[in-house]
Amino acid sequence: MARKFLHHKTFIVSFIILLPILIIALIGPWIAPNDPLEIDSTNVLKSGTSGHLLGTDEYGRDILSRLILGIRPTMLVAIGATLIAFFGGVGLGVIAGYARGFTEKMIMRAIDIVLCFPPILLALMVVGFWGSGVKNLILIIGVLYIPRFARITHSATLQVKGLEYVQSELSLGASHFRVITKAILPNIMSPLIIQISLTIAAAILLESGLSFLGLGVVPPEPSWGQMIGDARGYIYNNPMYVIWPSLCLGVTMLAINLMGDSFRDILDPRLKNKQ
Amino acid sequence: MRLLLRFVSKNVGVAIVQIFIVATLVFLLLRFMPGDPAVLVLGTERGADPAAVEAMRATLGLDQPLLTQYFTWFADILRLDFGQSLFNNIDVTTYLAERLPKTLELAIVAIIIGSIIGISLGIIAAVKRGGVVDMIVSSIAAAGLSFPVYVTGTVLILLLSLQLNLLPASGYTAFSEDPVAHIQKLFLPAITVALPLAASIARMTRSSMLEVLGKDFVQTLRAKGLAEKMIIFKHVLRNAIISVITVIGLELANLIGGTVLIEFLFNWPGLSSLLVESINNRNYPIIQGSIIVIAAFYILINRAVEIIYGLMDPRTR
Repeated sequence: MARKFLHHKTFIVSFIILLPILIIALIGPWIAPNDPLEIDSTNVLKSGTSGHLLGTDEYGRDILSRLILGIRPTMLVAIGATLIAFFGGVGLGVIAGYARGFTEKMIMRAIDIVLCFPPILLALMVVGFWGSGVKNLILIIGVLYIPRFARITHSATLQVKGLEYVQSELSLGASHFRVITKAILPNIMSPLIIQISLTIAAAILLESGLSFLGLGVVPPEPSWGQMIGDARGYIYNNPMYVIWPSLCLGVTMLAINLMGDSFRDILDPRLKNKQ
Repeated sequence: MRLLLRFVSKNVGVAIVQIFIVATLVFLLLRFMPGDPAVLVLGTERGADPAAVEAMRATLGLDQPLLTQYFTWFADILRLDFGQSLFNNIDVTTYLAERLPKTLELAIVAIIIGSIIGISLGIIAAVKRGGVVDMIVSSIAAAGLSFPVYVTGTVLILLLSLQLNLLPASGYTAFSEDPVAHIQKLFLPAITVALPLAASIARMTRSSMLEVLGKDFVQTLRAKGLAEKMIIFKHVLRNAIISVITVIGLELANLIGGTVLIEFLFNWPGLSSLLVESINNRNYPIIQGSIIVIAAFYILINRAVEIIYGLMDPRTR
C-alpha cells in the first residue's frame, strides 16, 4: 500500500506542497519575523520593504507573520471538525446499523435534519446565535459533516453484519465491540479515509469562508480567509495585501483536493475507471 | 397516474416536514443561546437597565411561557410575519421582499451562464475524448473547483476592473435606474458564481455523455448510417441531459444560500448579505426570517428537482 502512494504522482505533488505548510503551522510562532498583532500606524498598507517582506496591512501589521500564524486556526478547525465528524458519524452509523428498529429510525431521521440546510447557512445560523470563534467553528463544522460518515458506516454495517464470518464471530461469543472493530471498521476503511480527506477540504473552505465574512476566527487572531475579507477594502491601496492570502489559500486547497483525488484513485480503483 | 400523484404528494409532504423542522430549530437556537438575547441586543450599557431588558424581551417575544412562544411562532410564520427589525420597526417581510429578488437574479443569471458554458464544453470534451479541449476542460475544472469563490472573484476584480478598468468592482444599481450600469455590476459576481458551476456541469455532462455513448443503441444508429451530429444531439444528448438537469437543479438550490460569499465580496445587496449584516448587529428577527426563507427555498428546489427527475425517469420514483 505504501508503495502505491510513493508511485502516485498526484500524491507526491500534493504531499510536497502540504508538508511545509503543516510544518510552518507547527513551528509558526518561532519563525514569524514580526509580531503578527503588533500595530504600527506609521507603516500602513506598505508593499514589500526590508522590514516587512510582504508588506503591511491596514493597521501596519506584518503580512508575512500574519500569513504564517494564520494557518494555525484553520488547521485546528479542519482537524478538530473532522475528528468530531468522524467519531460522531461512525459511532452513530454503527449503532444505527446494529440496533435496527426504532433507534435506527431515530438516528437516521436526526441526521436528515442537518441535510435540510445548505451547509454554510447552518454554520451562519449557529454563529449568528451562539457566536463565532474557533471552538464554535469546530463544533458546528464537525456536526455538519457527521451525516456523510454516518451514512457510509450505516450502510456498510448493514452489509457486513449479514456476512457469514461476522455471524460466526458472534456465535463464538465475540463481544459487539470486537465485531465492530475487527470485522466492520476494517471493511469500510477506504471510503472513510476518502471521506476524511473530503471533510478536511470542506472544513477549511467553510472556516475560511466564515472568517472572510468576519464571522469565523475572532480578530485580532489572523486567518487566511479573514485576511482576504479585510484586504478586499484596500485593493486600490495595496493589491498585494489581498493577493498573498488568496494565493496561500488557493494553493493549499488545490493541494488538499489533489491529495483527496489520489486517495480515491489508490483506495477505490473502481471510481477511477468511471471518471 | 395514481402512482405519480402519490410520488408528488410524498415529496410535498417531506418538504413541509423539513420546513417545520427548520423553523423549530431556529426557534430553539434563539431560546437556548448562551447569554440573554435581550441583553446582547441592548449592549452592556443599556443592558444593565432592567426596564429596557424587559421591554426588549417583550419585543423578541421571550416574555411568554415557552410553549406559548412556540405556537405564536408558527402562527406568525404561517402568516409570513417575521416581526419587525429591532432598530427601525420596519417589517422583516419588507426587508426580505426587497433583498430576495436580487439574490434570485444573481443565482439564475449565474446558473444560465454556467449551464451554457458547462454543457457545451462537456459535450465537446465527451465527443473528442482525450483531445485538447477534453484535457483543458478536465484540468481547469479540477483547479476551478478547488479555489474558493471569493479568491476567484478577487482575481477577477484585480484583473478586469483594477488592471483593465473594464467593469466596476462592486456595488448595485437598480435596473429601472440605469440598465447598463445594472448589467455591468451584475456581470462580475455572476461570472464568479458561474465558473465553478460551469466546471461541475461540464464534468457531469461529459461523464453522462460518455456513458450513453457506450450503449449499444449508439452502435446501431451508426450502423444504419445516421449522421454523427444527429446521433450526438438527437439521441445521446437527450438521454444524457437528465442527470445534467438534476445537477443544475441541485446547484441552484445551493446557490440561494451559497451566494453569501459572493454577495459580500461584491457588495451585492441580496438576501444572504442581509443575513450577514443582521448577524453583525444582532438583529434577531431578520436573522430568523432570512434563515427560514433561504432554507425554505433550498428545500423546495431540492424537492422540485426530485419530482422532475422522477417525471423524466420513472425508474427512480
